[in-house]
Amino acid sequence: MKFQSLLAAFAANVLAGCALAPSTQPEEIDAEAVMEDATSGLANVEVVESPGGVTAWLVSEPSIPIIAVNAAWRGGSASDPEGLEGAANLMAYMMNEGAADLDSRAFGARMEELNMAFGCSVSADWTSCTLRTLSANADDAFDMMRSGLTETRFDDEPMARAVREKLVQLKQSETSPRAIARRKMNAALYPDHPYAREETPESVSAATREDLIERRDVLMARDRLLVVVVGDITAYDLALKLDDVFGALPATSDVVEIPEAVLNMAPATPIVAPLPQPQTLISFSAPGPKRADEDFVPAYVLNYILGGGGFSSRLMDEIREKRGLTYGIGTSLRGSAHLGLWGGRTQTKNESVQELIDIAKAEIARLRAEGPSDKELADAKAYLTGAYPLGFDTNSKIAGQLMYVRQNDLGLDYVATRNDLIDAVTREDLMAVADKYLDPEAFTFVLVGEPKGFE
Amino acid sequence: MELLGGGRTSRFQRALVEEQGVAVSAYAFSSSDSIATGMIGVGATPASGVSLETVEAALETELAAFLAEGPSEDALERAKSNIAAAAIYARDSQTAMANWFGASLVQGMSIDDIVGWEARIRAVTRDDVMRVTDTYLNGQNHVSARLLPGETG
Repeated sequence: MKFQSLLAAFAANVLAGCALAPSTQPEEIDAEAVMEDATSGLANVEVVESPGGVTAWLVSEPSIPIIAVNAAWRGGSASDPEGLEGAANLMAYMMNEGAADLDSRAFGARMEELNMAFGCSVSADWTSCTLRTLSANADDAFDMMRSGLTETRFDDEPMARAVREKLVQLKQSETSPRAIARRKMNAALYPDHPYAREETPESVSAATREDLIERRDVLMARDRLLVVVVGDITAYDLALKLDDVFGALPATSDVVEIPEAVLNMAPATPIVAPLPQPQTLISFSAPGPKRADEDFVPAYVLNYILGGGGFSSRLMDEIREKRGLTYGIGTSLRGSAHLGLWGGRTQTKNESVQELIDIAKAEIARLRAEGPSDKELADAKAYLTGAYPLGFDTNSKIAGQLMYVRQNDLGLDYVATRNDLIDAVTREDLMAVADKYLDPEAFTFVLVGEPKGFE
Repeated sequence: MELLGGGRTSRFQRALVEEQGVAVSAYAFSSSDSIATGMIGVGATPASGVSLETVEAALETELAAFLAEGPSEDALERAKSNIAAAAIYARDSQTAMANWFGASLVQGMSIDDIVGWEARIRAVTRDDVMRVTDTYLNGQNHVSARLLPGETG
């Protein structure tokens, strides 16, 4: 990308010990031309298909001798078998804890020798792995990834260690306000959906080696795989590597499909989870557009105005700036493959909870009734479009951006057209999504603390 | 500090987390970005059912062992290599580069110091490591902080 390679080249020159050039008067800059250049050149993607049929999106960027590889398989922890909640998580942990002849220690030592990082994680809907390597060590690093994925040892010591770590995390989450809020919200909105299932000490201890192998074979099949690569590698070299790394994974598998989440109506009063602390965590959620919905982009812009824009947002202005009731309040569009949510979170002292809820609901209603001002809309667009290139300033971030595009099927040209989509949103579009989604009574409220008046 | 608690193959990880199972995580850090004195520290999170006393004792034991034995050649090479490689990875991020240059220059270092970082790391010897360990980690007064469960109502 032009900006990134220019600045990286500058840094490389400095590191090579050249003296800084004396500063000169800057020339007149045509800001619009610069912006267009920045966004159209943000990520020059080549689609690379391996002989074995693995497709990668590649941004070949030779300016820094490193490579970032992101791989994601459609399917994650929501697919864990009953009674084995946490199995996918454990499987992901084990991917860099020993493979083939290298036990956990030897695998870790070898990764350090190669100055590489490789690891995996899961979310509800996705299993993800990343590789970061110096291009000088690429061959060996790719081979370590291949081995970690397909020759995983699943040895006893690292498995026992993973379970010990998980048990401590579960203990911590018993008294974590955010974790408590999440559990209460899931139980209120979709108690019978796989997204509401929780890991327990029993379930994480129950998974055997065979269970983890089964999870890998089901979750990490090649027909569920998306790959994004950014860095110092050519399309030709990558095409061969793709089959090396991923070729031994099963071609296909049967993953139990996760159903769409059907949300319960909001209860008339907030749900309270008592926790002895001087302030209350307030979490609120309502049905929202999913990523693929037409409503998503206008909702995204409207959310910035409501509570996504930090100090530029209605909720921050009314609740923090004008009344000092919170350090921060924010809203976001959340959700995943089978769920769309619009919600937010804030904290306030126990005595102020009712007041804060009343103001938040009133502001949601006011935005819905009146819509944003012209200035708010213009500012939101200026920020959202202007900030977009900042998400492309490292190889890893570019890889993450492109993986997001792939996971949500947004199309190869999305990065170049995304700002146009934001600019095209009209006031009428915002009023329509506000009308549909921003009914204050549609929000389920969960309070974690000792909120006064809610005993 | 990288050798003690920097990563997967560090002494704390191997001894406390893997072999003894008394900690679920352990770390060691050095913070030298300051004009006056810097700071070094170590810490660990105990595994379920393990007391803070046990974990603290395990940290002290491992420190003492390191003082006595020093790092293996392999471990030293890996540690140096990874710290040096971090300089290459840092070039990927304008923010990281700007912070690095800015923080260094503010503390009175020069651009040559930054440019020469990788070479200076690679030049560190086992003797250097042991000398520094002895100076800063051997019997010096240190402050311990323990996070205890709160009184629940």
